[in-house]
Formats: sequence, structure tokens, C-alpha cells
Amino acid sequence: MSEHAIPEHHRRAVEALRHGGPATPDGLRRRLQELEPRAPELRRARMRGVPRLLAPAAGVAALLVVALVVVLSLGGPAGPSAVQAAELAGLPSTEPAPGKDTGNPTLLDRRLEDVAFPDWSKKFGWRAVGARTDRLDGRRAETVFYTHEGHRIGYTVISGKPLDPPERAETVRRNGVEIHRYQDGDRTVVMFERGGLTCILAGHVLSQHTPLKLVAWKGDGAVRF
Amino acid sequence: MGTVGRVAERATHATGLGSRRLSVARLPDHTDRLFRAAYALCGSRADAEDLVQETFARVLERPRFIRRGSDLAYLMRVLRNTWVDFHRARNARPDTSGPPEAIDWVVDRGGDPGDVALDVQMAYDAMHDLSPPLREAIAAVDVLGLSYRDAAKALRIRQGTLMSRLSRARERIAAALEGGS
Repeated sequence: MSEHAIPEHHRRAVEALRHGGPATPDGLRRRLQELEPRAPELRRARMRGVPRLLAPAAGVAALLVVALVVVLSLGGPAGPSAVQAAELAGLPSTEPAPGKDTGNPTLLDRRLEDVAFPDWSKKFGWRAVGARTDRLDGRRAETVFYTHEGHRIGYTVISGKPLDPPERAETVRRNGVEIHRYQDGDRTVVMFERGGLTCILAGHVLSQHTPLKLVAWKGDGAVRF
Repeated sequence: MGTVGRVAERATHATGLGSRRLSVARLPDHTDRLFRAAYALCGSRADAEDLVQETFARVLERPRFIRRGSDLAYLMRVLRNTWVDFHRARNARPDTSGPPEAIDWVVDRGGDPGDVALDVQMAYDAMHDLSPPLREAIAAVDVLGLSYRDAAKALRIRQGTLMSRLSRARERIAAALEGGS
């Protein structure tokens, strides 16, 4: 820093911090690159926020929207697409990783309705590192993020009626579980159902078999389908 | 640098007064520095990754006109605010820290790999024992490379306060390096 001389006894610390540090993980670079094309979508999402002064009006509007949704839902099912739901796995976590379920070592202490997230750390080395909660077309979506050897995947459970898989998805069966699998760029996405809810696992993995192996694991019967 | 990094800068001269919109294309140029600053703040690789990603997402969802050369200062402000939000959310829930994470440490060109390499990791480790205000000061100036003026503005504190915090932070890290060598 030219503006002020650095005292001699601070120099070693300053040099260390200025000339080195932790290497940026490749997985983070990929996640940031995926953000760029989503910039317009992120801006639209921000526009959904309502200033506090408009809250009463927003409440009335929300009631009208709810009424409209009820009316529309009589005409047929509506909901987010599977591709939209899979996008959640690429977002950053906003909450800390859930702890272990004290009652069952193969589960995490986080669930949506009756669907508990699996704990893959002991069996597969995939460790939960964060979580987030979203609403997707009015449906609640819970996501837990896992990492293993620099790779990151998101496991999302969406409330409501099961979503249809994209047409391009291939269907495979593992360990008695029907799984729909497709590629989204260099991300592998798998969809399946647990407890009548749609679950989606998406992320960058070395082998396309990894997601299948993970989602088909039943954790000695504790991971219920 | 990926495809984003190869995109030419699309600076928008909106006001003609030296301000421009922070271009998406410039963000990857700052990834390494920002990741180090994020790691310095939170001390966890997974949290630092989330912190940087959320920072970029916030920048993209709120396009701002900023002064030339102030990209990093603006990013530091958003990073710091995001960290405060993360910190609040984490305090509201039990700590579920897992096993130690594997970190690759690098020494930049210009740094002496022999002398600096060991110090780098020790310095970052020592940073985690600092209070958050001291960590913010040293992350802004010594990790991100901001001037005192820009760092003070990014952290919304007086320059004198920044210098005082920076000095105390450096003092403690220097002591840790002396004690460890």
C-alpha cells in the first residue's frame, strides 16, 4: 500500500495475504458461469419483492391471486416444470447444512412433509453443506446441497402433485426405484418420486451412475419411497 | 477463464461522468480475489463458495452504476452484506460443522513460493481467530487489495477506524506467524 508505509513487523503477514490464498474451486467457477445467462431471470425475481408501504395492497392482491389460482386449478393441474425445479439445485445455499437425524443415522434432520433427506456422508462420502427453501409457482421446495471431492449436487423436494419429467428424459430403474434422467448442459439431472412428491437431484458429477446410485439408496429402509 | 471471461467488456457509459454499469463479463476477473476474501471472512470452503455465488447473484439482480475502477469496492460491499445475512441465518440454527475440508493453497506469480507458501495457510488460519470487524478490514485491504479509502467506503466505516482495525488485525496475524515459525 503506497499510501501508508507498512511497519516492518507486519510485512510478513501482509505479504502472505497479498500473494497467496485458497484456490478457487472449479465447481464454483462453473456455478458462476451458469449465473450469467440467468441474469434477466434474477432481475425479474427481484421485481417480485414488494415495498413495505404497499404491504396492505399486496395482501389484497395476494387474496385475489389465491382466488384466481383456486379457480384455475379446477380447470386442470398447473405447476412448475421439472426443468424450472432442477434450477434450484444450481442456486447457492442460504441456510446451514442440516444436522443428522438423531433417531436415524441414515437421514438428515430436514424433511418436506414425510420425505426426509438422506445422509450420504458415511456410505458415499457426499456431505451436506447447506440448504435453502423456495416457493415455485406457489409450491414449497426444500433443497439440501451435498459436496464430495469438489463436486456439488442439490437435492430438491417439491410439494404438491408430482411433476412430469421432460420429454427428453430417459427412464431407468434402480433398486426398484423409477428414475428419469436427462442432461442439462454439463449437469446431470435425475427425477424420481418419494412419498408422492417429486424429488430432483442435479449437479456436476464425474459419472452419470453416481446420481442413480445415490437416489436408489434406501438406507436400510429409512429412506422411504 | 471460461466463456464469460472471454466476453469483451460491455461497459455502458450511461452518465458520461465516469460511471458505468458493472458488466457481467467483468465478474470472473474478480472471482479469485473474491473467493479469498469470502474464505477469509467465513473460514469454510463450502460457505465461501456459497457466499461468492450469492454475491454474484445479488450483483446480477440489482444492476448498479458504479464509478470506474470501483468494481472490487462494490463487490466487497455486497460480499460483506451477504456475509452478515449468512451469519445471522447461521446463528439462528445449530452449528453442524462437518469434517475438515480439503483446501488447495496457491501462491501468486510474484510471490516467493518458498517463503510465502507456508505463511499463507497460517495467515488465513490466524484470521479465523479475529473478530468479524477485524476480519472485514484485513479481507478488504490485504486480501482484496482495496485502498484504505475504498475499503472504508465498502465497509461503511471511517478511514481512521479502518486503519485502526487493520493494524490490530495485522498485529495478531504477524504474531501468529512468528509463533508458528
